[in-house]
Parts: sequence; C-alpha cells; structure tokens
Amino acid sequence: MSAHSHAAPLQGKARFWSPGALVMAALAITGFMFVVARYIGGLGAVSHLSQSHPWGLWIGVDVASGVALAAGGFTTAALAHIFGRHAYEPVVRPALLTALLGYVFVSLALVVDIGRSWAIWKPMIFWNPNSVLFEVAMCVMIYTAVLHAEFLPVVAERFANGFKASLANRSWPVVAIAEAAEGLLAFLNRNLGKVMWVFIIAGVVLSCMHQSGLGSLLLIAPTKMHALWYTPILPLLFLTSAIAVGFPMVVFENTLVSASFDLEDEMDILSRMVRITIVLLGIYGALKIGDVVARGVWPLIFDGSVQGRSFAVEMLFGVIIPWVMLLFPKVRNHRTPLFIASCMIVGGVIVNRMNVFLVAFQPPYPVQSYFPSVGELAITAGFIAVLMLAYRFTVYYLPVLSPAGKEANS
Amino acid sequence: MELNRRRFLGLTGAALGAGALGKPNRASAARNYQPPPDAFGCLVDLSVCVGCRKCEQACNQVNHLPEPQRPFDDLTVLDDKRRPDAEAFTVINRYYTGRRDERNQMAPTFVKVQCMHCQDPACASACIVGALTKKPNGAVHYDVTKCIGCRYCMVACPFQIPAYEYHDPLTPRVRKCTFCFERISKQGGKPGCAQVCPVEAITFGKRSELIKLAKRKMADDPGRYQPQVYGEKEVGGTSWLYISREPFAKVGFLKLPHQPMPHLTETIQHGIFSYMWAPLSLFALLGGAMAVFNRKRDQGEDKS
Amino acid sequence: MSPRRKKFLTVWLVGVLVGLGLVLYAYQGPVAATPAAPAAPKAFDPVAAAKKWKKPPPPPPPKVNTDGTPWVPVDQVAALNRAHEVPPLVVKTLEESQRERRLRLGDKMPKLADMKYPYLVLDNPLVNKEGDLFEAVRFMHKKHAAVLEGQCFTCHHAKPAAKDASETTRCVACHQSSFNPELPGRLGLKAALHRQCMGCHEKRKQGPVGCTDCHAKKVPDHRKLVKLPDKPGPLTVTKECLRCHQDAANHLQSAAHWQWKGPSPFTVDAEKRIDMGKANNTINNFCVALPSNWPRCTSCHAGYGWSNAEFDFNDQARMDCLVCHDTTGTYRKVPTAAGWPFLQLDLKKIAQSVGHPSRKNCGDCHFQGGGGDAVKHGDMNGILYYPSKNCDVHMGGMDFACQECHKTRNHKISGRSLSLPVAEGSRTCQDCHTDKPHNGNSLLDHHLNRHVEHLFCVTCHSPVYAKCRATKTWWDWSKAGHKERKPKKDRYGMPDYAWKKGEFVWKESMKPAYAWYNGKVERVLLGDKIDPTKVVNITKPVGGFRDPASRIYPFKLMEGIQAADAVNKLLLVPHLYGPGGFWATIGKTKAPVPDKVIDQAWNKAFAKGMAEAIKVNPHNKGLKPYSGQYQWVKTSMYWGLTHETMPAKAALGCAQCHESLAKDKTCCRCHKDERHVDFKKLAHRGTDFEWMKKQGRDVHELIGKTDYLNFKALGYKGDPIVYGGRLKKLPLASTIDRECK
Ligand code: SF4
Ligand code: SF4
Ligand code: SF4
Repeated sequence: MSAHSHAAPLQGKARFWSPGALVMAALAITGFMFVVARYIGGLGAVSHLSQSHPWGLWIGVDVASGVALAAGGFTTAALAHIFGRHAYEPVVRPALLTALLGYVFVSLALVVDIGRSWAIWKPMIFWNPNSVLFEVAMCVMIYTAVLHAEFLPVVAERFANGFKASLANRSWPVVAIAEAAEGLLAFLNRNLGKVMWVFIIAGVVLSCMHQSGLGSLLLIAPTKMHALWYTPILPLLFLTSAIAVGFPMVVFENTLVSASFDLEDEMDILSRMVRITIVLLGIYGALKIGDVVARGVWPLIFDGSVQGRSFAVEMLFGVIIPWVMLLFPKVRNHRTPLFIASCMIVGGVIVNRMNVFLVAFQPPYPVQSYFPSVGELAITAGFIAVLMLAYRFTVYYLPVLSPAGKEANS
Repeated sequence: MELNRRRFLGLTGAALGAGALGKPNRASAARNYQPPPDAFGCLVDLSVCVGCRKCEQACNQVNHLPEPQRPFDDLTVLDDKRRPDAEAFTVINRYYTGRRDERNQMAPTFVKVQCMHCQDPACASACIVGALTKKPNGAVHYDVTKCIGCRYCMVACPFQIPAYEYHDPLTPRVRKCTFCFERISKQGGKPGCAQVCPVEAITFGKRSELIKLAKRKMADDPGRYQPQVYGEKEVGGTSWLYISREPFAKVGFLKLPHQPMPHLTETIQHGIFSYMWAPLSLFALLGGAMAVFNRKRDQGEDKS
Repeated sequence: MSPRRKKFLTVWLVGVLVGLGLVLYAYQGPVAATPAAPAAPKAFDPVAAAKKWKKPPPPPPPKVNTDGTPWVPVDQVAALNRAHEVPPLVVKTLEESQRERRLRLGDKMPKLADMKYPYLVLDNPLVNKEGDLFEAVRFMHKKHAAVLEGQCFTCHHAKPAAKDASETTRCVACHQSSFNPELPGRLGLKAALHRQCMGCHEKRKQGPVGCTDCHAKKVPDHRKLVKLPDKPGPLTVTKECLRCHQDAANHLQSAAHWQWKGPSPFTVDAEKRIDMGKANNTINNFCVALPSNWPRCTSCHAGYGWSNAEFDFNDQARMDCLVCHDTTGTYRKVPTAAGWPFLQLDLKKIAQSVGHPSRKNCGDCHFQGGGGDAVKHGDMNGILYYPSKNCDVHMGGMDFACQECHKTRNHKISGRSLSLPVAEGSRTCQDCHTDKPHNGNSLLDHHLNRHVEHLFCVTCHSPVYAKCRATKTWWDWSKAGHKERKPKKDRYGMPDYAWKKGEFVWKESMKPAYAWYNGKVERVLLGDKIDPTKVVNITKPVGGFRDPASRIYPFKLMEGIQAADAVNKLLLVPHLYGPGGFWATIGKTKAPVPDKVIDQAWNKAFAKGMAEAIKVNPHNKGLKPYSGQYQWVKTSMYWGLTHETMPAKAALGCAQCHESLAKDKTCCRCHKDERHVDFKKLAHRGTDFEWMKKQGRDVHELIGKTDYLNFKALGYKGDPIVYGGRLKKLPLASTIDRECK
C-alpha cells in the first residue's frame, strides 16, 4: 500500500544501545535466568502458584493484559483499513508491530506457564470445543498467524530489493538462498496487497472472539469469583475494554518511541484518534458501572476489603479520570497530558485484568494467599523488556515508523 | 442472563451499524449434555466415619503414591485442616461442631475429601484438550497424554480438587482422585478407599441406588441426619454423595448452586460456535463495511 | 664425602629416627613408654569374645511337644478353622422388632449356657480380602455374652427367615462381601464387625475403640524394604533399621529394655524415682548384680557392646533391633560378648524377615534368666516356646505371644515384676477377664467371683509353679570354688553343685508360697544397710490381712546364701565374670582349691565389684568400697507367678482350700439341697493332682491336700466359711449349719 512508502528503518538515524535499552537488556537477562530455573526446578521453584491459586501473574499480566494491550493492532487496522480512515495509516504499522510482538510474547509466556511446555501443540489435535480456553487458544494462534501475514509487507518492502546485493561477495549457496528468498519476498510484495483485506477482516473477527473469550474464562468458576467482577457480561466487558484501550495504547507506544529515538511525534493523528476513544471508553465505563449497579453489588466497593479498593482504583484511575481528562482538548492536543491520560487507561486495563484473574479469584479453601514471587515478577519484567528490545530492533532495521522526525526535517 | 455473550455480539453488531444476522434462539438449544445414566457413585455417611485414615492409606497404596511424611496411623495429622494434593488424593478432616457424645466429650465429625466426580464436571468442560472426561461409569478421568498443564481445570473446579505437581519441570501432572477408574471398570471392582473402610462409612454402588439408600437411611433413623444428600443436586449432581448428622456448612462443605458450572460457558460457546454463525456473520459485516467505506474513499480521492 | 653432604645426611638420619620414635610412641601409647606404671586392664574386646565362643548359635527350639509330636495350639487352630468358614449367604431375615422377637420366643430365648464357642478368632478371608492391614482379632465370645448378661440379641440382632435357622446365626452368614448390589445397605463382614464392636463399646463406654487396641498391625514384608550389603555387621543393620524407624529408636532410648532402669512406681519409698534398675542398683540372690560383670550379663541387653560403666546410652547406633524382631528364630547373642551376636549369623536374611516379637524373642532372655533355662522364674522356661495347653492355657492353647498381654506402646512394655523395680505399665488378668471372670452366670460363678476381692486369679488357676520344668529354689554361694567337688544329678536331672556358683536345690511342680500382696514391693538395693543376723528379704511383697487392697498371691520363694560386707553391713557385688573375676581366678588354679585361695579370690572379686558398683551409682550415699571382710548371709526373694496358667478345670477346687467343704456337708450348709445339682461333686471338683502325677509331675505331696493356702498362715482364724472372712466379721456358714440330705 502506497501510504506506507514513507515509513523507513531508523538504522543510522539513532543509537540502538541507549541507556534505557541497556536496562532492558539487563532485565531480560535476569528474567532469562529465572526461566532457566523454572525449567530445572519446575513452576514451584520460581513461582508462588499453589494448589489453591493455579493462575498467577503470568496469566493476569503476561497473557490477559498482553492480549488486551495488543488490541491497538486490530483497532487501528479496523479504523484505517475497514472504516477507511487512511489518515491514520502512519500509526497502523507500529500498532501492528506492537500487536505482533505482543502476541508472540503472550505465546512465550504461555510456554513458560503451562507445565508441559513441549505439549503446547496438543490443542491442535485434541479439541475440546466446550472449553473457552480452547477457543481462546485457537483464536490467538490463528490471529498471530494473521498478524504475521499483515506484517509481511513490511519485511518484503525492506528486503525485496538489495537483499542479494548485500550478500554479493559470499559463496554461492548463500547467494542462491538469498536469491530464492528475494524472489519469494518480491512475489509476496507484489501480491499480498490483493488478499490483505481477508487478513485484516479476519484479524478483527478473531480479535473480537478471543478478547471476549478471555473474559469468559472465569465464568466457569462463579463460586470462586468476587461478585464485583463476576458478571455474565464479563466477556463483553473484556471486549469493550480491549477496544477502548487500543488507541491509548498507540498513543502510549508512539510517545515512548518518539521520545526514545528523538523523533517528531504524530500529535495531529493521535489527538484525532483519542476523540474516538472518548466514545469507546465511555461505552466500557458505562457498561461496567451499569453492571455493578444492575446486579446491586456496588456496595461491596465500599466495604473496605482489598477487592473493593481494587475495584475503586481500577474504575477511578483507569476509566473515569482519564475519560474526563480526554474531554478537554487541552489534554488531547498536548503531548504530556495526553500521554498521562493514555497511561492511565492502559494501566486501568492492566489493573482490570489483574483484578479479574488474581484479586477477584477467591479459592474456597485457600492453602496460602497469593502474591507474585520474585521469580514471577522477574520473568514478567524480562518478557516486557525483551518485547521492548524486539520492538526497538524491528523499527531499527525495518520500515515501521515514519520518521517525519527532526532529522528528516532538518 | 446466560445469553449475554450473544447479546453483546448483537451489541457489537449494532455498534458497527448493522442489524443482527444471527438466528435468535439457537443458543438455548445448543447445550444438551446428559450425565451418564448408569454411573457409579459413593455415599459417604459422615455419622459413621471414625476418622481412622485407612481410606487415605488405601488410596495411597492403590494409586502408588509416595510415602507420606507422617504415617497414616498418626492421627495428630487431623489437628490441621488439609486438602487433597498431588501426593494424596483424599484426606480426612476433623471438625468439632459443638455436639457432645455420651461421655460429654466434644464429638468430632470426620469428613473425607476427594474429587466429587461431578455429573457435569467443570474441570472437564474447562480442559482445553479434553484430558478430563466424565466416563460412563461415573469417574471423571484424567488422561495425562493429552494434558498440556494449563491448570484451567484447577481454576474451574468448584471443590478445589485438582492438584498439580509444581516441582516437576517438564512433565507435571494434574493429580486427583481417579475414582479408582481401572478398578471399578472391572466387574466387581471397588474403589480402594471404600473397600478398606472398616465401618463402611463409604458405600459404593450405582449412584441412583445410593440416593435411594441415603433417603432410606434418613427415613429409618429419623433425626440422625440432615435432610439433605449433599451432591444430589449441587453443581448439577456429583457421583460422590454425603449424608451427615451435622449441618454441612459446619463441617467444611461449600454451599453451591444447583446449576452445573459449565452451563453458562458452554451455552455461550455453543451459542456462538454452532455452525460458526457468529464469526462468519461478523466477517461478512466487516467485509461489507470495508467495501462501503473504501469505495467512498476511492470516490473521494477521485474527486479531489 | 663433602662436609655439606655429611651434615645433610646426619640431619636426615636424626629426623627419621625421631619420627620413627614418635610413631612408635603414638602407636604403643604412653603406657608402653612408661613401663613402671601398673598395667591398665585390657579393654574388653567383643569380637574376640565372640570368636572365642566356639560353639555355633543354638538352633531355634523345635516346634514339637515334649513327646516329639508336632505342636499344635489346639484352641487357636479350632477357632481359626471355624473363622475361615464362609456359610451360604442369608438373603432374607425375619422382619420383626426385638420385642416381637422376645414374644415369639418366650421361654426359648437362647441362654448363656447354650453357648458353643466361648472363644472365637475374627479372621474371615472376606475381611482380609478387602485390605490386609491388621492381624486377626481374638474375641472372648463368652465374656462378652456375660458382660451383656446373656442378651444374645444385642449382637445377634436378626434371625434368618429360614424356619430352621438358628436364633444366634453367626455374623458371616448375613454379612459377607461389601456393596452387594443385590442387597443395598447390607454391610460387609468387616464393617458389620467394626460397627457392632465399636458402636457397642462406645455406647457402653467400655471396651477398646482404637485400631491397635484389638488387633496388631501387620508388619509389611521387609524383603524389599531392607537394603543391606551381603554379610552386614550388626551396626550396619541397625543403621538400616533406623533409616525408616528413627522414632522407634527414640522410643527405645528411654525404654527399660535399653536403659535397664526406669520408673519404679511400685517400689516402696521409690515410687517417684525413675532411675532404678538392674543397670545400677538392683541386686538378687542369683548372680547378684550387674556392675563389673557386664559382658556376661549384657548378652541379654537389647544393644551391642555394653561392656563397662562407660556405655553410651545415647548412642542409638548400638541398639539391637533384631534380638526382639527376628522372626527366623536363628538370631542369637553370644552369651559372653556384651550383647554382640554370633558372627556366623546371616544378619541380612534376619533383617529382611523382621516382624512382631514372638515367645522365642522374649524367651531367649526371659526364659533363660539367671544363666540358664528355668533358673530364675518359677513360671517361665523354655517349655513355653511351645507349651502344651495344660502347661499354659494362653500360650499353649491359644498361641499367645508375650505382647498380647504385655501391651506395648512406643517400645515401653507393660507388666511388672517383683524382682526388678522398673515398670512401664502394669497388667492383670482382670484387664481382659473383668472383675467377674467366672461368667457362667450360675451360683458357683457367683461365689467364685466373690473370690476376686481376696485372691489373684493365678492363686487358684496356677496351683503349682515350675509345673513343667524344675527351677532353682536355693543357691548357696558360700560353697563355691571347690573345683574338686563332683556335681550330683537330682531327681529332675539337675546338678546340685557348680564350682563357679555353689550349691543348688531345684524343684518342679512346687506349691507356691502364698502372701498378701497389694502390688507394692519392699526391696533391698545396693547400698541399703542390712542386718546380717536375720534373713535378708531382698524383695518382699507388701500387703496384709486387714488391707482391703491386698489379695492373696502365689510366689516362688527363692532362698540362698550370699556375701555381705561384715563391716559396712551391705550386700556385696562380686566381680565374677571377666579378667580378675572370681571365676577367672579360681579357674586358673588347680583342683583341689585351698580355702585360702578361695578367700583371696572372693576378696579380690568384692573389691572390684563394689568399686564398679560405686562407679555406676555415683550418688548412692550408702554404697561403700569393700571393707576387706565379708560374711555369708541368708537371703530370700519373692518372685511373682503369673504365667503357666492352667485350663479352668485344673484350678483349685472349693474343697482343696476350704476344709468345711471337704467332708460330706458342702453347699447345703447354706443352700437348700433341692436343685438338680450335685453339691458334693461341685465342691470337690478341682485340680487333679493324681492325674498330674500320672503325667510325670512331681506332685505326690499335694495329692489329697486340703487347706491348700493355709488360712491360718495368712491371718485367718481358719477356714473363712467357718470362722468368718477378713473384712466381714460374721462367719459365713457356721450359724446356718442346716441339715444336709
Ligand atoms: S476409612 Fe472409613 S472410617 Fe476410616 S477415615 Fe476413611 S471413611 Fe472414615
Ligand atoms: S470435583 Fe472438581 S475435579 Fe472433581 S469432577 Fe468435579 S470439577 Fe472435576
Ligand atoms: S476412589 Fe480411589 S482414587 Fe479416589 S479417593 Fe478413593 S481410593 Fe483414592
């Protein structure tokens, strides 16, 4: 698609190993060590998971929040491609990349979290259509593939020409392979555009399914869930919140990246985008409030329990305050307040996912209460760090961002 | 309320500016699960159990579980409330409810805890690969060759039964009472625990017969039992049934709804995925939208 | 040779020499370096002692009767055979209430007297099929019926519908396999028994309810569990045992069989003490005392290597598990090696076949006390490995193991003796047989049960002791030392003399000494002042005619002559066994041994014995080193008799004690002679000494004896039937001396 043509790799325009990147690398290495420990001593060695709390931080943050925050991918894609708002094209690629990396890392986190990592392929053979988790797994799997397809043009664009050239002086087998790869990429570059619409729509459909599916996961355990969160419309809430967090997430990463690489941010696009967020977040907030009111459980918010306070934090700082903030053009049009509001929404969704999977989960016979262990935190932090490094690496070498930045201008 | 997921799809559709394409009442008809009619069960009479832990010992033996830290004849173990775990599929817990016996001593009530082998098990519904299944003989059976170790069954089980081998790095198993599946599959076979119980606090038999027996016991000895067969209705019924002299709530039993746990989720699942109607219609809808919006844009571009 | 080189070599040489000297010094020890000091006594070497013992370990006792026929515990076998029957299943029972049943039966209610099987074993294969964790239960059917006052229907709660079926159909007829789908709700045999027993025990607040109160735990097969190299040493075996049974070691560590001392609740003036026993301060008139004689005496210790005062009782590695838990019957300790076993034994095989103790395990020490079979105890000897029913009704008729009466918890074994102060719980016949042991519910039973207040059961039920093998009743140490004296065999074939020990008297089938006994014992312990002019009662039962807690109890009275310190007035501990001991000293001299040599040998033995006794009793103020002068004093000891209970028909009969019933007038003195009972026959029933004599027993003096107990000696004016009891002053029968037909 021609609109992408001004996106370019950042290679040579910024330093890769910034201090932040180094910190990320350190976190990644720490996390990796704990992963090694997990494969030596088992889950019990690094986590506080127990017979009463089988799911912990990894499911709540790495998987559930990871999937939610990757929603930027399908929402922007839907906005730009399906609803034809092509002005938003510049943010589609980074959002897509976020989503792609997000899903890859959700999968990796799952590999670590499930006990029999090597058996992760089994759901493809043994189907249990009754299982919500099965649905989620299938959708995530297919959607990750779709994301790859959607992202392929970027790779193709980068390497379609000159791949061979860069390897010209190598021995003949390397050259032969490079030639073949180049041929394939060129072919894809020429033809992908024609079928891309299928992938784009499929991506949205799959996203809707598994975003809500994640919410259905805990519907099977009504007696174990705190009333503030256990609601039959939990899937709907998960979907609407995922949709609502999509654009703030784009704002979030865009701001971070442009700050990090010292690029011009795309404030005009972003502030236009968040206008839609007001509606989407409004729908989510209204559903959520309506739900606790309709079910009559709202007094529980004020009962002083951890759950009540958690719910209040989630709603107040994650939904209501940022929503009100976004109503003001001053906020929408300025980088810092917009970033803060987006952060709050993103944070709100993370808190919501943690609340649902960890805080609301009250086993009837608690063996011990659950609080994430150092190992769990380190592995989660490590995954996030790797994710950010991978993002950095990708935008460094592939044409993802549109560096309408200072250098380009200057 | 069960149809909310459907309703939200409707909502989604509406938000996208299109009417619902769905066939309205499919979902309710989608779930037609029937528990096995001729299943075995066990009736535990808490007023009979003497808390000897022989059942724990027998369970350990027939399932080849590791030797426990403290021997089975050490009854001080009962001072703590325990839960079944990866190395003990059943445990006995002791409760003092305030009742006094003939010697004016606090009368203990012993409660055997193990998988209830639900008629409509949440664990089996949840399991991503169907490693857990309700067998015709009543056992909820775990097939380790399918399991991937996601522990969703543990999340789902309302009785908090499945336990996990957290310290196995690569091949951890979910562990729970097997209802001695292999044993009871044989003619005349009995579960290890029921067979060893010195006082037949555990009666093994056809579930339907056991419910009758429980009712007969209540009628024969009025006042001895609470008027409830725990497990007859809870979560849609369980293969293991309990009758008790003490109120169930006082001896560690959960108050659970009578509706099977998987009812809501499976209704949703079947509602959406029968013939894949929902995803397909969403796909069509979005495809339409894409066509419309992009044509508009193209036209716009052409104009400019 | 250059001077440098010379210097170098010299230094080398000196260095090597000094080094060698040091090594030699270290190796030989300071004693060798200073030969002027007196030679230290050679430490006891158990392996050498074990090697020196040339004889192989004695084989296990053969499982045969004295006449060589195979031994069979008749009552037990009969009960087991019956237990193993499975009658056809009764499907239908009569539907009637207990009231209706009583009405239906009227006079035909089953009675206690109808009982056919007073003793049952609950050991049906139906029970064992469903998990085999416990041993069979011995069930005293008749006792239960008596306690329930003949209410058979308490247990026999339903009658089979069949017309001719018995009202007291056995449990297994209705209760067979559990969970029979044809009969929902019908309990299986195991549950039926447990519920009936435990339910009733609970309801009546009487009777055991714990698992091991009724049946012993089965010992799992240790063949796979025990992991040992071939030919393991005893310490290796113990280590392997403790790998799983550490708690057992912890329990044994404070138990009497390890400490040889412990609480002495029944010893007068020492009720609160917990440190008395053979290990330190008890003394007897057999081989006298332990200190200085360890390696010989401790060959019966449940440990290895207790050869001197320094033995470390905290060292669990030295516990001997096998001596009590061997089931092969082959395990034996060398008699002189401080508890070490014979080197020839296959300890691996023995360790792999451990189990509950049998009479063999206990008996190897307890039947052999005093240095040989039947020496010490009047009621325990090698016959009891496989006794006839007439010799011991429990062990012979029903194959009791010791611990079935001597209930054991945590390696503390209940039971008490007069000879030793240690007691870890006490047992009486009444624990099982109740305070109304004669449960036939007849008038005779009523009278017999009244006896329980005044007599211990064994007083009547074991009218003679050492009834199957002669025991020592007299031991005169003052005659020891004369190697030239030829021992003569007495009529039981036992020697009357041994130069090492002195003169003996043996007696078989002896009438016990009877005395009042309330359970307490007076003892003379090491360091207690004695009066050498009188007979020293080393142990004496406490009790009296007027003391309601006292009852008449049978004793073996052991008498003898042993040494006392003439100056300090203390019983002396002789150092008998080992280097420098009496036996070694005399053994070295040629026969005949002059009296002076014997005298010197004794002096040396007492000096050493008392020195060692002081070592193990550091806080005993009374103990003094040997003064150098000894004298011979007469001592006596009472030994309780509890074993070798005879079958009921061999108990003393009324007329054997009560002269007033010995003639024509018997029960008719009080009771009208109108019943269908032959009073005379009843009163004259009892132990048949004639018959015993025919069996080869030495009882000719007892035949036809009346006033067997000797009432006057016990404090009565005479036969209490005539002269009145001890607490009730009224004569029982003299005023109602009615005419008898
Ligand atoms: S074996 Fe029977 S009596 Fe013993 S604890 Fe188990 S259920 Fe209770
Ligand atoms: S009790 Fe739990 S584990 Fe057992 S069948 Fe029911 S849901 Fe499954
Ligand atoms: S049925 Fe079998 S697996 Fe379950 S508790 Fe009983 S013995 Fe254990």
